[in-house]
Amino acid sequence: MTAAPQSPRDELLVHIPSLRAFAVSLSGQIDRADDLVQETLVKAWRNLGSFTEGTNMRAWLFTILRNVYISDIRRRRREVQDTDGVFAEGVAVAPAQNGHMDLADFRNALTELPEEQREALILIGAAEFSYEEAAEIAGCAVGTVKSRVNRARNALAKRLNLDVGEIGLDPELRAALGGMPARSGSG
Amino acid sequence: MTQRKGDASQLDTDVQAHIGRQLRAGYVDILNQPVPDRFLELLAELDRRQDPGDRDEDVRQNRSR
Repeated sequence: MTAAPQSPRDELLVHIPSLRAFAVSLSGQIDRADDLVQETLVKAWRNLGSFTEGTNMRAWLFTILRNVYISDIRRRRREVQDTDGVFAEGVAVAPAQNGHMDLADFRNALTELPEEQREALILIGAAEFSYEEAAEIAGCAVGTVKSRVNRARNALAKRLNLDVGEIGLDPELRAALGGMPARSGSG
Repeated sequence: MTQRKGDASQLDTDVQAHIGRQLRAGYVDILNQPVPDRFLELLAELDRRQDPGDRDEDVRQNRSR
């Protein structure tokens, strides 16, 4: 009956890569992301007693990180009241003029989405949670997650379409759109 | 030189697929990075300093008052 339980330390360790990926996707900044992960780990450690064994630890940790991130945004908003706010920083990079639709452009577009839409899109499209899990993490209804994801996708598509319309399809994007196999090629 | 609008819906599907790939690519990029030392150190320190969980800490805080 006693399958040697992982130490809490090892258990948390396993999830650090996905916590970092989530934090970077949310905040768009790696340094800030790692601070968020750090705070998440400390909180998780303190509250491990309230984690129900056998349930989804990744979802539990994502919920903590998400809440840490929201408080961080609120704190920054209070601190930066004079300018356009938190979202002015690190966002104001114009799309590349050469029509090269690279990851950096995409990240910028992502950063400009409303918080709750970006969060929903990342949970579903990147972290690959179910809509039910995403709803629990975001603390909202399943239908709300679905509509946020749709709005996020449409907003990004509109923006990318616009760029495509202005510059024409550049060869790299054309290749990307042309159904190249995914990088991993695992099947 | 005019862009045909006729294939807009096809383009839209393509763009959606593109969004999906970009989203996942950025995420997987970080996912595949090794865990930075600062987190290994953090976990080691937490492990050394206190047992995980709520109650233990409360007890300690109460005692130290």
